Amino acid sequence: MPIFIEIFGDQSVSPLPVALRSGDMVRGFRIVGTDPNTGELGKDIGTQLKNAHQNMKLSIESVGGTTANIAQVSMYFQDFGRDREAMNPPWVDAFPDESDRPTYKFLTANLPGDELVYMDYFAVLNQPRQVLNIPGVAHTNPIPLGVKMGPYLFSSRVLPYDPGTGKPPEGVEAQAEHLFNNVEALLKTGGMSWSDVKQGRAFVADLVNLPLVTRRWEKLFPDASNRPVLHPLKYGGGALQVMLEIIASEDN
Amino acid sequence: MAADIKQFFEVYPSQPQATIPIGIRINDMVFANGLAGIDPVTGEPAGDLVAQMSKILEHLQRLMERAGGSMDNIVRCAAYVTTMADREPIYEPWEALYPDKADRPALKALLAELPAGHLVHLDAVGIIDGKRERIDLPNISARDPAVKMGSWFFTSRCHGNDQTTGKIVEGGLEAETRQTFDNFAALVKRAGGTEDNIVQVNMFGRDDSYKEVARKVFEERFPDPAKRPSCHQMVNVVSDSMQISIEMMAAL
Repeated sequence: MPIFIEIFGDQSVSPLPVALRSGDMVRGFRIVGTDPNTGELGKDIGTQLKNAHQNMKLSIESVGGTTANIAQVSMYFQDFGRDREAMNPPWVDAFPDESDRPTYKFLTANLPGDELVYMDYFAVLNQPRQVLNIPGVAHTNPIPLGVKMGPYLFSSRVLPYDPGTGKPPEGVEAQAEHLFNNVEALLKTGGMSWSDVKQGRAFVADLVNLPLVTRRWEKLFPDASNRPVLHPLKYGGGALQVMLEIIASEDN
Repeated sequence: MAADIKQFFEVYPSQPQATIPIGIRINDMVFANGLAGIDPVTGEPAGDLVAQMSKILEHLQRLMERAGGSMDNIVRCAAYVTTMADREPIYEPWEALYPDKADRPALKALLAELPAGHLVHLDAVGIIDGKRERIDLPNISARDPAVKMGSWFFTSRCHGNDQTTGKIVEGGLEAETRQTFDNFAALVKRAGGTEDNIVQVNMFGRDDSYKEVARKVFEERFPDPAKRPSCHQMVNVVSDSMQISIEMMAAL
């Protein structure tokens, strides 16, 4: 059984754990935009994001790692539509090398009080970061399509693009088809296959279209007793009707 | 360390509009961090302190079910409240949920800063298919138990109680710290292990002044830095009748 321990930040200030470690895998959470020195919440989104990146750095350092160990970050915004422009500058400051940075996803959540952003992350200790990309399926945001670290693969929200055109095709059925092909290509780039997948998260703009994902998922994993979890999430889609985020790990 | 990861997935609220995960399952272990007594979609708090604690326990129950287990599989919880007066009332819904003193998880109630409107947060550790086994020392009464589950052993916060009289030993901080480690040794032996199985020690004192002495006792107890458990020293609420409280967890 992998050793598991809880990780804390400044223990004179707060008893709340900020991460869990299981073997070399680290799950960080409770990362918000408070000033790491004063504990004050930043007044605006720019300050809160900057603080949150600083707190994430402190979190992984308290496990004995560095930001080079971070594989994937989730950012939850009180109002993403309003604050989206603020997201990438502190991200690029924190991870300046485009050939070696984690991936992320961003979502809206009803955060308490004046919190404008909340973050959690996955990191892997003692393993180099390998960024995974596939031609024609690139984010416009400064992130790779996925990251492999040691035995773990964390994807971004994989895009439903037609790799031939580099754009999403018309129609949700065609998008779903490309999406699953793209996830498979991503797994292959990481030397993995569907059988290594441990979790999927389906982002669908209209829940009516969820069966387009679950049908394919069930076909890939016909044994219900051994099927990885698939969480559905409704999100404001725009041109992208369906996306899939996965976590995979290789068996020993 | 090799992965040996069979299950690795986040647990989300059942509503597909809720974006933030509330827990994670890694193999047989389930971790919930920062459970709040709120509506998972709107973020609205459930009401007063007891209402929020009750809502948290509902969330925990759903979380355990979605992770493939039940409330019988919870081994250790940590509650965080914002004032001293709020430490006691949270036991009402807790003891209603776990009426059997012989079969309830380890628990500690600490003070922490929480987001605006949040009066209590809860962290929990569960082991799928695990069964609780309460471990006591004969002459020391403990409201919150030490609990063995499978190959894991968690204490609540323990103190420098004499193993014959049950009273806090005389001699102040250093004597109490030594006695608490003696009590850990006796507890972990009853759980079927030895002090070498201890993987994490969390100390609590009223202010920073306890840290140096307590750290010295800890390092004497675990002289080999390579085999020393992870040790965190926190400043938090400690009962008036003592100088230090310590909790530990062991992998048997």
